[in-house]
Amino acid sequence: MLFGVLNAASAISILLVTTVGLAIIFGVMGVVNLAHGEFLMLGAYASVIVTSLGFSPWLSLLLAPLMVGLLAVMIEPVLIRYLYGKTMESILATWGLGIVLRQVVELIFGTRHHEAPYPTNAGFALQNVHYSYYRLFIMLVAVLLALALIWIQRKTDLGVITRAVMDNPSLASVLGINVKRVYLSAFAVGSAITGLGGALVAPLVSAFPAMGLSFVTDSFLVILAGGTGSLPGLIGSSALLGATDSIISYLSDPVMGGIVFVILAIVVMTLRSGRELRERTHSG
Amino acid sequence: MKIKRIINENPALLFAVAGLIAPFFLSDYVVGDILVKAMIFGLLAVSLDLAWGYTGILSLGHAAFFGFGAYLMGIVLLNWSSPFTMPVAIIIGILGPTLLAALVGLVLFYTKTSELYIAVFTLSLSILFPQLLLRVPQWTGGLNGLSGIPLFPFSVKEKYYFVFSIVIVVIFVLFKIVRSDFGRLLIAVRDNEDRIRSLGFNTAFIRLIAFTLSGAVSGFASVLFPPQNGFISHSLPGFVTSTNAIVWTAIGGRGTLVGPFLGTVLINWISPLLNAQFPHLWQLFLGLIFIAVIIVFPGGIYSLVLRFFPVLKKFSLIPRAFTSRSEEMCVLAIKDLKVGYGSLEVLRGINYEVRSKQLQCLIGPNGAGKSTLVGAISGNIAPSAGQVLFGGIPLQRKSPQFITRKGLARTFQTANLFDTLTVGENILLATYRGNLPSIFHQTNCIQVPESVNRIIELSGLQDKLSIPASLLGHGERKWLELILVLCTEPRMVLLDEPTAGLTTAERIEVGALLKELTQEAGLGLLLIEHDIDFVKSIAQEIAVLVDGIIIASGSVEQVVNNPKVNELYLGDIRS
Repeated sequence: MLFGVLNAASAISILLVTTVGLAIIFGVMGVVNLAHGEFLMLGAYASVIVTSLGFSPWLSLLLAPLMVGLLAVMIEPVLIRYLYGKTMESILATWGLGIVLRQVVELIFGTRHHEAPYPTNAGFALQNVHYSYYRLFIMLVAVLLALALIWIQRKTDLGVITRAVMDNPSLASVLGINVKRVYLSAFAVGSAITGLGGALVAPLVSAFPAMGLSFVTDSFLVILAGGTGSLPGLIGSSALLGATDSIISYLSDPVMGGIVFVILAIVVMTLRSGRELRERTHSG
Repeated sequence: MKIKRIINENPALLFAVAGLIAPFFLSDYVVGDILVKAMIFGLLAVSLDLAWGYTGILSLGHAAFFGFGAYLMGIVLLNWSSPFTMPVAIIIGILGPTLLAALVGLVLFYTKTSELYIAVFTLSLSILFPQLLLRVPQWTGGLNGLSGIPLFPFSVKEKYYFVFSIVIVVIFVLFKIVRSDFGRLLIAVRDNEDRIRSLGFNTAFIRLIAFTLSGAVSGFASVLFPPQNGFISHSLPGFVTSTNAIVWTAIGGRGTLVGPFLGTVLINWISPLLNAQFPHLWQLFLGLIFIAVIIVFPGGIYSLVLRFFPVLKKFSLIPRAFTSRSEEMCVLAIKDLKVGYGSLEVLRGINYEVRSKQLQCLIGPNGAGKSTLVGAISGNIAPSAGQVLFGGIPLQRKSPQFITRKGLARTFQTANLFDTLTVGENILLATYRGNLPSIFHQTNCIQVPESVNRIIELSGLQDKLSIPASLLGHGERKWLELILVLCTEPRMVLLDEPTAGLTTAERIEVGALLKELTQEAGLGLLLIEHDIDFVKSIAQEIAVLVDGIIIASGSVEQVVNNPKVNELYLGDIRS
């Protein structure tokens, strides 16, 4: 029982740390980043590089977000800038970006799996199964990340500026807010958090070029089910979908878990749709 | 001369001729292996183009349909032997993807639908489907796939011409469809879903038809694949094939059918050479081309070809009588209608009546809730309480297309058109009044009601029937939207600021015309307006909406002299 709860909590926190970055980008900029899975993949590879150079895996949790964030700052002006608020174009262009990033990594590292070492092998025994402290650490990161973002959104000037831009970019720019800079920062921060997510999950899944695919649909389903621009909604849907997935996967197998994940996300979306439709029509 | 005209209208014929003679100039390996396989994938791209390029449904998992059919066919061929095996395998291989597409379409278009939602759902399909196949290895062979499928019993050239002729037939039939009135409707759904719903069409159903058709075309591709390849693996329905199909379609030129096909054949032809020369780099380069096409060159390669063959569609208008559905008096009754967003109440209980043969105006300051009221009546916004009765039929919480089909139409504050369609096609679709048009027939003589024809002449649009709506000026767009709405032959129209942005001269014309419509066609009109002088000159009745409440209504005289109205709204004008 306790084991099941821990597994569910672990699934939820992994879902959250791999989704929050995407939610920031989508919520603030209206850009659908389908290359999200590749950003996670880059974070995982960053962790592989750092540890293979002989540094501590803990350091990679610092360097991975930095590297992916920097890359995002370079990509934003040449690609993402043309996609603000355009759903269809951003889906397609970032899809292309994903292809390019996968090919670049394949060119350098090949298609084989690279193991990333656990930062700590310590753990505790639970019903004769070794349970790593590292999974507890991921839960801690997820909680801290969620609290920090809620605090920034609600209690800081940065949060107010960001929400103003989300609400009405053209009005915000008239008020003297540099909308382009807000977008650039949102993309960089969102990508950096995604990079952190990739580095965090790297020891659990190992790094390979196509590793992002299994994460990207889950992340988007969480966002679609939780609604855009609402952190509590995101946390709620992560909890619901992550827990269900882990229970079904345990009872049956991960494929069934994946199918139930999709169906549940559609059900939640449909239940919420009436309310959102009205809100959207009002703002439009 | 006639040949020249035919080629000008169908430049694809030039490529068909090239395809016909190609086997005589190329090696057997290129013809029998590379080109045949490329043409099969080309059909997959064509099916994706029907969904994405024409109807705007971006499917990131189209290979699932393709692979599903191939697996079904392979399973039948390997597990059953009888004289009927082949025809049954072909039928099942085509029906399977068709039904799967219909099922996916039902889920996608009848729940909460959006571009992102469709993309994410189809993406999960392409990731989950191969995993599902691995779960039933007794049927699918698991990781080993299905091998030993009987190959085409043809020589190289026979095989080429067999597949080639199927391609020609499929593309020819699809050409008939996308150039028919139904095809124009698909483009209209892609361009502007709100408007097409407000013209009375059921967009979910139209998309479902298009997507199912697209699944069927994938089915044609999937039954050609196993006898060509002899082997199917679980990665065929997966992510890589789906991604490739999108890249091929985009680079070839979406929304042209021929473009995606040619793009696929070309890329599959040169890819083996370039992959051998530059491993990885070629795929990387394709990815970069794809991004470039999306951002700076959305028409793809084939749009360059089409540039040399401009087609000018000519339309003629045939006036006919306005088939007024009923001579009886018809009343739109709004009873205690409320709209709220959370704690904010925008409409706080509206009671009002609009009658046919009347021109009534609704005025009020900015933010009073005027557009919200129109939206709540027309089904674009769900009211939180209250009733809307039109000729006794309750309309609250009904869809926009239902309301339009009952004879209550609306215009939008900013003109809402189908931008890539011509003016003539815009008008044509409106005259269908929400009924499904023919899937093969292409209409060029549009029957429009007599009074609408006069508006078209007055607006000067009869000379512009062949140009795309996106090239119209602001005033012309307003005219065209009014024309579209009137073509649905409504009994009552809600006009959201029809004269905003028009010149004074145009306003006077519009005003006279609207008055005439109420007299001759028996229409009931409710105008939302800001310009009080314009309102005074045309309205028979005025209502004043302030802060979500109608504070006064009645004849022009009564309302203008109402002290409450002067205090809250008009006061500043008169002083």
